Amino acid sequence: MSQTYDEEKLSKYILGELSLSEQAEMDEALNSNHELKAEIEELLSVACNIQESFASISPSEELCLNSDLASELSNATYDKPSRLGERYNQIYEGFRKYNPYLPEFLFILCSLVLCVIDIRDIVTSGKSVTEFASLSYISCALLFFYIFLLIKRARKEASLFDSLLESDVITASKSRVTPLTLLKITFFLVFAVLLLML
Amino acid sequence: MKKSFLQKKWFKEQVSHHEKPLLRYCLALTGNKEQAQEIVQETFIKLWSEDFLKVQTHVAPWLYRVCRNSSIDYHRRRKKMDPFDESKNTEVEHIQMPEEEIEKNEIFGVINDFPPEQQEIFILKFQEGHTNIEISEITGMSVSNIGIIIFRGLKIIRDTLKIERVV
Repeated sequence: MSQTYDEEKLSKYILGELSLSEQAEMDEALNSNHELKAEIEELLSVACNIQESFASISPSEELCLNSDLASELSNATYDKPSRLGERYNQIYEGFRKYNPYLPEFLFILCSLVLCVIDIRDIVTSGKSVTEFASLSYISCALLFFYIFLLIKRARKEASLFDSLLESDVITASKSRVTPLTLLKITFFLVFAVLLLML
Repeated sequence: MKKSFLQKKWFKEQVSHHEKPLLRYCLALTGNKEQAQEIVQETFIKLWSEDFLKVQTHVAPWLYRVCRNSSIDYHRRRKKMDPFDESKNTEVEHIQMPEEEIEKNEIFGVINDFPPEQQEIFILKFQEGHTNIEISEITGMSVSNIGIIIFRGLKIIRDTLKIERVV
């Protein structure tokens, strides 16, 4: 048994998180090792003291949310949305005016164009297949991986906004321009330019 | 998705059950009451927008994890605004134990000297009463690592209190 395994198991024993069979096994092991048993008993009393100390701090009455959040959200309707969604509303409205993914996509587009030009030069010059390991191919692969991460991020943001819209927490839905729509448009532009280049 | 009556009732129960513990945890992470209130409020808004069926089996760790991530984001934003902030570059940079309690109770004094990650685990374990598996879900650390950190922390507390009593 490694030292690491011992500590983990002993910790679980002290905190009462072992299964019944494991606990019985541990009891047996401790009965044959009095030194360890004494140590565990000490640590057990320390754990109890810590628990009692934390329990003695009662949460302050002042420590509460500023509004009856549950009712605010439950009673929200599309015509009378919850004011709690105001901040999200502003971000969402902002998406219609300014595409937050555009700078990143412009950067990717420029890099991809440079890579494609480079790869085209390699192919047209009739060089051997070993050139496939060239830096341009690696950069191209990395850029596609970056696009993949960007899509993942946008999808996550889009799903949050969509669910807030559907539950009437926010109202900025009239245009239905979601982060994902913006991403799709930008993506389309990137590939259109790439196709033209090729 | 429109929420049914039962779902609204469930949500209300979650808010009343987790509101104060989450605020206390967030206050320890951010050290700022207003910020803690804002983070907890946004956490509940995110819960409202989730599919309840997906989260209801592990709602407590889910809420704590969202709060924790928002608190870490808050520290990152604050650090960007204050380039002279010399706090350590760890995930959880700061835990604030209640000062009056540190003076009153020697155990809190020892915990206050722990690294932030260890303090956070002790708070989640002994204050909020989470299991090691739940703490692992909240912090992203492995369950065995959490067990070891708690065990070593208990030993440090025991040894420090022994020395203090001898002195």
